[in-house]
Amino acid sequence: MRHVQMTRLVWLTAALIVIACVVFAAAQSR
Amino acid sequence: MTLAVRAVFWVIAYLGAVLAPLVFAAIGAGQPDHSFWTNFSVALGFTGLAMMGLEFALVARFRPLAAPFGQDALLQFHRQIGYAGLAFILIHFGISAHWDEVTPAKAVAAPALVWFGMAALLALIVLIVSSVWRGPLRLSYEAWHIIHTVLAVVLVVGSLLHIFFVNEYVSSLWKQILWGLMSAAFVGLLVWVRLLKPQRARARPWRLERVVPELGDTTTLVLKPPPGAGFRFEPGQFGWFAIGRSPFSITQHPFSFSSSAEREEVELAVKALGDFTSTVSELEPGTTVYVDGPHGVFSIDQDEGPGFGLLAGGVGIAGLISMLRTMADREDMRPVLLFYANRGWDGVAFREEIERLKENLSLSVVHVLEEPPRSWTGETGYLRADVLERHLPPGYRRFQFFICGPDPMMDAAEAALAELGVPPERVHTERFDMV
Repeated sequence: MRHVQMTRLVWLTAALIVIACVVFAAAQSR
Repeated sequence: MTLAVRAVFWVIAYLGAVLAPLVFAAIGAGQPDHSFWTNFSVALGFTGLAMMGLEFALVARFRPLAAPFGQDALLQFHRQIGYAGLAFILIHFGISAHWDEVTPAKAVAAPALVWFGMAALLALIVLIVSSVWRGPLRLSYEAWHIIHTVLAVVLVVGSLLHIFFVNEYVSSLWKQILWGLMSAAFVGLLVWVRLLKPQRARARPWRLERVVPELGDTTTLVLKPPPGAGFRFEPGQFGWFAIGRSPFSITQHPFSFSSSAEREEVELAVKALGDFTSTVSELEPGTTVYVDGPHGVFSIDQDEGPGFGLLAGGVGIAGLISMLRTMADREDMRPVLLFYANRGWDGVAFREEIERLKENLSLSVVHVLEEPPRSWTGETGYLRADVLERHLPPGYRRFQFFICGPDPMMDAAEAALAELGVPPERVHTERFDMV
């Protein structure tokens, strides 16, 4: 099930990047 | 470091590299006030670019990076995170484009940053469309690979110039230096993959010794490494091959080593499936071959167990027969059960040799045919859980399982083993679906 785990890792990575973008945007627009 | 720790290290390193441009942009005052959505769009643009730059690293065949995941899993990450990057960049474009100014007249007079941004976006869209629909578009692997590489370079260079012309984020000297370093790392990666590695391979040419036809449109290529190369591989590993072409050619082909890891001559089993593989049987002995390898973590030497279950579909047998041949040479008598799925009996490559290998191994073989002959009394259909269950010995959950074949077969086999309670850490796969 390695490819299933890898898909989860992709989702997790993308989600973390989006969260970082939101934090960046919030911090910059204060 | 264990493989799991190394995997975590690489994931953190990846996130660090993707988020580095945000840190560059955030540090240092003097930026004009932007709304939340503008800043969010900028962040998506930066991270999207970093993700695209790192796509090169994921397919650069770095052994330390591939070791904890497997090259096929890295390719899967490359493909799927590419979709995420496309989404990021499309949202960036959707938010940041001046939609009220999108008219043909104004487009011509648009500033350079718009032109470079649009070129990068267009390159990305064509790149992904040509990858997802390579089959319907009837693009050969070779043509697709060249298009993919050229568009990827256009995408990254266009994006870097887009940022340069936005100016706001490269206004100070130290930011220019940081962006310069990032760009240099990207160029360095290209130089390493496309010039230095091929240059090293050119100094060590291999020779095609023999071309042996096998059943099932399969051909064995017998290769001889250069004298004194001391080439070693583990059974199940693969290499990238430039056969009869320059080591600098963009397209190389991945093939599993099919010979015993204990012998000097190296063999590949190639099935006629595409433009290049269909011409392999016509290769002349004496042809020069350049090899980048070995690669991969799909090997009985990496995951030892009290016994092995090998599940092959079609030419997926190549890496698995290497395991059997190696075990025979090593007089390894641990039990092995080979499930070998094929369409018809006449296309079962190596079937006679596999029968002979039974004499030197503790090997059981189960052929599974999709279109069996009338007299066939063996298993039919696909590698389902009930087929496996009928033949697996007691204690099979402690075996190590290796699966290689076409994607649908591998999905079915992985699901079947999970259904039978085999722990996922004992199931190993090697996928070669590049697109």
